[in-house]
Amino acid sequence: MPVTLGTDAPARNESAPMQPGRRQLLMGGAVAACAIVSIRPALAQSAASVLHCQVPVPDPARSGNMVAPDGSVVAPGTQGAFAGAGRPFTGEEVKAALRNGKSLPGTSYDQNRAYLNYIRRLQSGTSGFTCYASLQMPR
Amino acid sequence: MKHSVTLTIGPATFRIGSAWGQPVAQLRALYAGYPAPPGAIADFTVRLDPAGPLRRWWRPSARIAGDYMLPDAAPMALHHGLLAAEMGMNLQMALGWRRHVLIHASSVEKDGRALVMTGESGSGKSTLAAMLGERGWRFMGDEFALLDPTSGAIFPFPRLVSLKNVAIGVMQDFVGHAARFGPLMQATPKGDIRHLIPPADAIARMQEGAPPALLLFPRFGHARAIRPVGQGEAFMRLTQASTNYVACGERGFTALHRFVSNVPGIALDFESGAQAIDMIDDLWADLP
Amino acid sequence: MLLRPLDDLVLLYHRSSGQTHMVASPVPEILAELGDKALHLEELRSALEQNYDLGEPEAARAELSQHLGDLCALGLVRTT
Repeated sequence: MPVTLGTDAPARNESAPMQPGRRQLLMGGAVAACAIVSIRPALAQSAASVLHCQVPVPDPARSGNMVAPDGSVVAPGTQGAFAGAGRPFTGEEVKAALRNGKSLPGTSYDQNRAYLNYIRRLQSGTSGFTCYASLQMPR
Repeated sequence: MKHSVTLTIGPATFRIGSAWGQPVAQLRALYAGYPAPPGAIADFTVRLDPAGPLRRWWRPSARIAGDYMLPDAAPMALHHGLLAAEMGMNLQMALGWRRHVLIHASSVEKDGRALVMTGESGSGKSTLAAMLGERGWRFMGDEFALLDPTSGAIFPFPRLVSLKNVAIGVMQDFVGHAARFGPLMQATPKGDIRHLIPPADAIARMQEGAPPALLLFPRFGHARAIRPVGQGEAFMRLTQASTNYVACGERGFTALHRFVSNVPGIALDFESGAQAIDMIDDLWADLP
Repeated sequence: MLLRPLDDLVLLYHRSSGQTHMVASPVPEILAELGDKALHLEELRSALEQNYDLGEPEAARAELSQHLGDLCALGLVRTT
């Protein structure tokens, strides 16, 4: 099947100049190294580092509820679930828990796992999501 | 807002409002030397709002609010209000400024050309810029360098220099006059912070840009080393250091391409400010 | 699509997606050859052969195919 450029072809005079003479172009072999690196936006990381962010567990809109071991938010009184955290966790505390295995402050082993599962499931629009997302950006 | 002040820093004007008088009074005092164009229209509003109904009076703490906000920001104690205002202004610039490509970098100018230093917190870029500003260079900014897509020049954003932890003592030794420093804020989320008012010429010339001549990637606390940084690597690192590269679209792309094509990039490892300044003076002298 | 050279690679700004990519040979050469044409894999290979040494045709086709796959995945080229 023929290939063509996606929308907006480069103007001829804008493309990289052709090298004079015959130079080797391909690396040889069927497995070519990836020749494209895409720039990922750094917005969340740069801007969120400007403020100190926090992650409430669960979000204030559902603050009366409990957190199940898998991180889902469940009704109060649910067997095996944990009460929400007394105070929001800071970005630093969440980062330490996710990356270094340090428990979130004031939590037991199981409670910590439940909270971290909750955090990992955060969606855009939920309180704490931007903070969590900014921790994921590669530096 | 009960208390407010309007500040012009480089090309941007901010209106800072607060439920409490103290942060506004502190800002007025520290920014007293900055020109205040009459009738200046604010580009951005920053507000320090009480963090909850009781928090206006009891263990007063402020939420940073404004035209641009990040959800999940942690509230700050009132006695750190000056820092909260600074963070609020940074946030407006980071999220809302489009007229320049915003680079997380410090910059200084000499002989009509700009030196841009980019790096993470702790790299030393802010302290180096502050020091160079006291040693014959014109200070242009410690946090943001503004790249003009039209001319390719770097424009100043000379807010108060935000010194952290060890840098506070270092700059207190460097700068003779206590009057140039703001209050010491201890145990903020960023550690101990103290503000330094930029030198008078930096403030007087804050509308004046300069074409960039050298891009440095400083690293404080490593054995002295100098390494050239390739254009591809420099480009990549600048996109990561820019809060608005993507939002600037094609203009941002051509501006950053032109920047790395014309400006040599050097990674600088150093163990002390004095050592770095020597290295920088040599590199600057060697420029064509 | 805007292409701008740097010392060791080429920057690519894709207007429709607003995305920036850093691309290394042979990608800029593939893009330049495609231009506004639609080419089959073998047509692309032999067009590039005019100016470059691509090595043995079968291996060259396999490699070009891989690069084209990457470009397709990013929306920079498409099959027609």
